[in-house]
Amino acid sequence: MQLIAIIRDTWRLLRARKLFWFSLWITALAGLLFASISFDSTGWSVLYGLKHFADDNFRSGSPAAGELYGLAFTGIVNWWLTFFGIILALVSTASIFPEMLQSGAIDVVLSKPISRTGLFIAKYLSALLFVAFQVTLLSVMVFGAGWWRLGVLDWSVFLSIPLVVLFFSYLYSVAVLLGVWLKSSLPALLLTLLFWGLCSGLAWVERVTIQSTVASNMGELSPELKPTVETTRRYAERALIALPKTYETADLARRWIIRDREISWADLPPRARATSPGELARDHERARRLRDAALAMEKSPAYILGTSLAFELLILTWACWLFSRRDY
Amino acid sequence: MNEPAIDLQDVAKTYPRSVQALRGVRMEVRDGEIFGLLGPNGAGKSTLVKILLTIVKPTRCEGRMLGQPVGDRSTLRRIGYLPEQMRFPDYLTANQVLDFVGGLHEVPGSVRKKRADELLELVGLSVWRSRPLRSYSKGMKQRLGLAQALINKPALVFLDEPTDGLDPISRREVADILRTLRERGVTVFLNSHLLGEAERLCDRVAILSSGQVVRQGTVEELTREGRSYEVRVDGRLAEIPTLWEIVVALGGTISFDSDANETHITLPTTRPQQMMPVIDELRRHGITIDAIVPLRQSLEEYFIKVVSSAPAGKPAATVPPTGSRESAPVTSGPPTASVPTLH
Repeated sequence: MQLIAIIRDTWRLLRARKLFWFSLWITALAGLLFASISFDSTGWSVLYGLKHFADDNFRSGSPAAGELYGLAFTGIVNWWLTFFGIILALVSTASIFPEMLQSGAIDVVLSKPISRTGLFIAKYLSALLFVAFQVTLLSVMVFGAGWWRLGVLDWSVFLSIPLVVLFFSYLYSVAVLLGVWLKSSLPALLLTLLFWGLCSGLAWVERVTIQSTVASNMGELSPELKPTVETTRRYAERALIALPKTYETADLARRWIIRDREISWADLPPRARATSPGELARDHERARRLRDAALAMEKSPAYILGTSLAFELLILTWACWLFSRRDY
Repeated sequence: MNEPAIDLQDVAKTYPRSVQALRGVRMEVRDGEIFGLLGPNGAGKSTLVKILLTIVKPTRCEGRMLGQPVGDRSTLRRIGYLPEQMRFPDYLTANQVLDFVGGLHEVPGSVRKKRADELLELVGLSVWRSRPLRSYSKGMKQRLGLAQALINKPALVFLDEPTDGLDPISRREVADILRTLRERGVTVFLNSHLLGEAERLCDRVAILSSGQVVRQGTVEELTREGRSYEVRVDGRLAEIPTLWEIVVALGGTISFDSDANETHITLPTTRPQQMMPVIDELRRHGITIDAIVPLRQSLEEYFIKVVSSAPAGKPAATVPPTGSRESAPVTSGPPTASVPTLH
């Protein structure tokens, strides 16, 4: 009963903000845009037939049509849900703890027969439910669109719900720690975004150095640069061990939802796009080797989720300890 | 006799940087009474209440509340609380506030709804129940605060400045509600700086100064110390050495009230017969006595006297047990000390 009361109270807080409705509308819009992709016997169209593209590869009944749908969905997951959506969610929820800690508000809740740990967890879960609600809404729309447009019941789209919530929870744990510590929303939000930037930056460095290592093995990189690349990669990898794997967690959606790992144009680096059949074959071969090497160095889901959850648990324990021991 | 609602033997709190907020508080709040905790700013009143409500962790705490050790979370189920500056988000309605607080107290949904109706009726907010708090006046928010403190039908309710921001009529209504609660057997712990209000409402009070209870008892017991009798004579009294000697010997004072054009002879005593030598002397000199008035020290006067005499940072005098106030130190200065003394 107490948990429900706290969740309901947090939802009232979120619902009272325009940002909540803005996020909801944007999410619904993303879903509607996705559902606007349709296929016919001559090609595909967007915006409910407003713009039509004649294409033999992506037409009704072609296997590539399903791939396009999958790519569009993972694109939404990667770019909408795990970027704009997460930023909106962080902005919406960053104030949950600082507002609860305001004098006059915290007195009311702490004087009730609920443990501080219970209160902390309930508040934290409320924020995660907010994100889960938004992702579920989008997933349901995408699932419905797949059924409507392709006649396929692709349950794997619902995998994005736990993945996006996990992704958000890593960052939100940091926002909670900072919120409890500083008792102020804005610094907590800004520092969390900075932390996210650090994690993403390190992940980017790691990815680039992996690609460079592969390129070096293929003789495409100056041998003098190899030690520097190797050292940078090692440092990035080590730093990332203790940090949440935001990019990799979001990327699990692509790894799990898109099963077909054949080379597509989207995978080719822009500089390698060929103009002749010979070049095309070479570039495809290069892209294949890059992909294989990258796959070989790809971290396991257990490692990605395990280390990230360990980080989250540590941060939450710290935040909960701060919250529980403090006098208000 | 019932077990005390609150029985504190030793409560201490030292904040970081060695700031001692409470220095071994000893206090008893009886079951079913309205108890007032009085004290100047920074005396430790809020800290004490927050310790009892588990909001602040004590450095040392020996005591029981509603029969359980202080800090026992399950006891909070039977306690209501109105913080000094209660703060609920302004987008909530009165119904939502009561629903939330009732939920935290684990009051079942249907019961919560019924009680919310009753309480909003009690505090006069029924019409406003579905409107957001942003449209409420300060007084209305305070009345809602009182309602939320009662949603769980508490056996003990802590009210921190409950009449703060209320107009005189609303204050009287709150006072009536508190009396009704007492009639229903609810113990009311009132934390107030309005001494007149405490004097009218409270059965017993404690004065907290520099983190210690310096006095505790009924208002009657506490103010008895400052009782006196005053003889009023018209005009300025001529100098009578024998009268002066008698008054000084009895620990009294002679003063002239220029506004009333009266001479006041005040003796610190609760027994009227002790006035007889003064009356006899006045009659011997043929002076007409206008009036003999028993004076009672107000709680405010007593409070100021006690708080100003309590040494800051040092242990205060042991609280005399109830009924032993006759032996408490009595100052010779009458309540009209501001009136210039005759020379």
